[in-house]
Amino acid sequence: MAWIQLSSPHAHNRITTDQVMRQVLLACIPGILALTWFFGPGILINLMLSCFAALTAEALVLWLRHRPMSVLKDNSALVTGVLLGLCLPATAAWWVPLLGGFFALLVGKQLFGGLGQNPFNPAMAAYAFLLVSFPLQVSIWPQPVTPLSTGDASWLHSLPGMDAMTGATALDAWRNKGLLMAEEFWQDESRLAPEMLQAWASVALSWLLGGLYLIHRRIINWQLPVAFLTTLFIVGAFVWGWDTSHYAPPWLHIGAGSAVFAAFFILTDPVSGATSLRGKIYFGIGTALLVIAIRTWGIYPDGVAFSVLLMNFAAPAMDYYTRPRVYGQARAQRGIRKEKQS
Amino acid sequence: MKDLLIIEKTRFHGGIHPPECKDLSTRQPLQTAALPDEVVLPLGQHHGNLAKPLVKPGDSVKTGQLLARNEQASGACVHASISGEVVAIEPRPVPHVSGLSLPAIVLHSDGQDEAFNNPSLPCWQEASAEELLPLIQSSGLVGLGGAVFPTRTKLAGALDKGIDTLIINAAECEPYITADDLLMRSRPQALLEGIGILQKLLKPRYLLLGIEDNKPEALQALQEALPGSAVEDELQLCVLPTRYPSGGEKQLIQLLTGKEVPSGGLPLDIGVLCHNVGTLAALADAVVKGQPLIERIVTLTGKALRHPGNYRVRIGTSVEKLLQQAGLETQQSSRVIVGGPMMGFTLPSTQVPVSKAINCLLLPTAEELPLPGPEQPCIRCGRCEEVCPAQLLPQQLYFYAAHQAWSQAEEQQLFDCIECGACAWVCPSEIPLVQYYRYAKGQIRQLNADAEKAEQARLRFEARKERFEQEAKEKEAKRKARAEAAAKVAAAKKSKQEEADESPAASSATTQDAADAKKLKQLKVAKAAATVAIKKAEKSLSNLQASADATPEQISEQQQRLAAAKEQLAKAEAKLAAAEEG
Repeated sequence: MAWIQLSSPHAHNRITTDQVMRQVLLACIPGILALTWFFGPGILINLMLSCFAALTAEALVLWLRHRPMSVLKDNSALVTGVLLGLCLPATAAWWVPLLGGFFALLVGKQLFGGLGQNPFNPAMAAYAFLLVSFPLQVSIWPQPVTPLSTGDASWLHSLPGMDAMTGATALDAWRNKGLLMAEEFWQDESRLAPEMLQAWASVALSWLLGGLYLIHRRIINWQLPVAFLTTLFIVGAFVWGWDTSHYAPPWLHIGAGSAVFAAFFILTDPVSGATSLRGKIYFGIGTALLVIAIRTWGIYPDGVAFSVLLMNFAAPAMDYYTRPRVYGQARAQRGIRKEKQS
Repeated sequence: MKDLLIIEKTRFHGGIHPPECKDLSTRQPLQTAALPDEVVLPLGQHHGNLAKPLVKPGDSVKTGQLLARNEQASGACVHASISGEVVAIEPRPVPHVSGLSLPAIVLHSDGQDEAFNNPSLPCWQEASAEELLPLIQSSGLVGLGGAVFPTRTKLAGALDKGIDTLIINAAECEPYITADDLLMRSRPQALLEGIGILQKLLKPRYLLLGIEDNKPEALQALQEALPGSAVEDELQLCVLPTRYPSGGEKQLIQLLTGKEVPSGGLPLDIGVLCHNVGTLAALADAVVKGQPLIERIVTLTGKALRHPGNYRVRIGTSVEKLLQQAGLETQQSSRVIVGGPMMGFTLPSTQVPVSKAINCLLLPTAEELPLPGPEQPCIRCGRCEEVCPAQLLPQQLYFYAAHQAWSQAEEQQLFDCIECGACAWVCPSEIPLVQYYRYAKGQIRQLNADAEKAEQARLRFEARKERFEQEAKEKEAKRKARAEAAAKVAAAKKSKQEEADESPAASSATTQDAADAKKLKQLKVAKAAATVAIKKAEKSLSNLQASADATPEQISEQQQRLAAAKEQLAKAEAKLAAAEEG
């Protein structure tokens, strides 16, 4: 009889890319629920549209490149679509997530050769593209109102949420506070509603929940999110300590905005990030520093997307300079040290 | 007896914990496979040169008799594993991934299994290294852990360099394989005796046995057998966490000593020697009983076998027959794996003999070890890096290997890869990483060999060119020297001529001498010419006289000529004599 000839190993842990991606999607559920709770079903519509666009774009490129459609089953396009959709405000026009999804998959991913080839995080590339092209569409969020809010305020009365009350996010409000002292800012509820702050903090907590699940399932390392959030907090605290009445407090850096989401779901994108563990830690630290810099001195209120994209540039160099010492070697060989030795 | 040392922390980087699947073959006690009717004993079952056969077809041999000798450092001897008749010495397929054939001695059994009386040293405690080493050499012992390196060579190296730590590898980290486990459970005394012999031979400072904590029965058997054994006070039993590849030589050394084998080096370089438990039990058999390596324990496992278990198998038994004994359900299995699921290789055919290297035959069903799915793109998730026990960057190595960037792959220490397969086991994209590394290593070795060849050719060519140039130079120099000498002579002549012209009276004595010599020579030549003329005339005269039709005129003419020639000779002799006197 004919025996099959194969190279070792013959066993596999049977965890495949599509399963990894599915875990990421699963971990997004608490965050999706929290966002929907506070900002209405517009979030879900965004998700559907961006996923549709992402999958369609991927399918289109696969067709153009004569690749099997089964590639769609690796769930990676779906993850990109979901991550992008989650960045968009519930009140965004219908074409925003569609355009974003197409851009993410076509320009962010497939133009570079598809899965595993893209130097930039496709969701962040698309978000940055939308942010510079249509700043209003992607930065105005609705006022957080839950289904439990009284009377007309509940989004249950204003389905599908398109004409909800809009308001600035916490970071937006802080950015636009101008010369106001911190104490005055906090007292002025017209600038930043406490509900807004609570909503964003709750969303951040739900992202944390999903992130912990990913760490528990060993889909991501704990080191990278910890490095990012710790740096964000510590450096944020230093800047704040410099002038507490002028700069944002560290808890605002973490609790408001997309920091926690980015820490667990964006920075941990393996393709565009650093690969080695030390590289990942540097990646997290570097992104946090850029986020602080943009939020403190830049014109964008959040800045995570740009920070991640900038760090994507640096990731190969980080891998190059953080090579571990191989078993049996006297020392680690990094960068150009090799040439110096010989 | 020393206390058990429990190592809780995995000291090597990474590692994995695949399903062990060991209970499949440990439910049954050690069994003995049926005595085969025919054995095929390849002359090369190990690294190094082939053994030279000492028998010829038609010879009858006994079990354990030496059939082929190998004196080379990297070879091992081959012994008859059954008694019977040598029927052929011919190329036969051997258990090799490529379906390689090697010359082999084929024996037909006479069913007697009569043992050959080999020398033994039951009192090895009193024996010297000089007595033990030849015995080990002639017993055909090789490392039974998988590398099949000749034991004697390994020991000779250790004796030469001296070792500090002797490690006995009982980790058996590869899933499915339980040959060492069952050996320790059923023959702990033989193992301890083997350790004792090595202890006596090598005198290490530390004697460590590393065993994974998933083998409590084997550990207990060892602990029970230890009191009263030769190494009761010296042997330190160390329990390791179950983590693949803790039984890899380099990883085991790191686990037990904290030291690392230098890249490209041997454990001997850090004073460590590792031996597998199977080898040590076989060593004890060889030394104490005089039984060479004619059988080994083979784990027959996998769900495609109805009777999985561990069997004592005579070397040379057909794999096919062995699998039949274990109840192979052929429609259930599509692969025969030699070794475990992590590092084993697949056989193209079961029509091969069990060699000294086969520790396990794994016949998995498709559900048990599914065939790999299609290779997907690498997403640089870094899982491979997390599990790599050599702390390499497998994904970088993969990129370089796939893009044939050999120098970068080498720079990333490709050759420190032990091919344990942990990276490919975790890879979510199911990339056959190890295959890429093997390919890259093969290509680099080939390129290096080619480069070396080319370099040698270049050196040869340059040496030849240089030699030719040298020769041409020498020739030129000689030619020049000759020309100069000639020019000098000519110049001298010319100057002499001028001198002579200027003052002929003052012509020196030397020119006079030279002129004399010349004259003398001329005279001698004249004399010789005269002699020749006489001889010629005499000959023609005698010819004429002998012939019938010669006229008297012709004869008289010749006689006159002869007389003239004689006269000439006399003249010449007279002149010569006068000149010589003068």
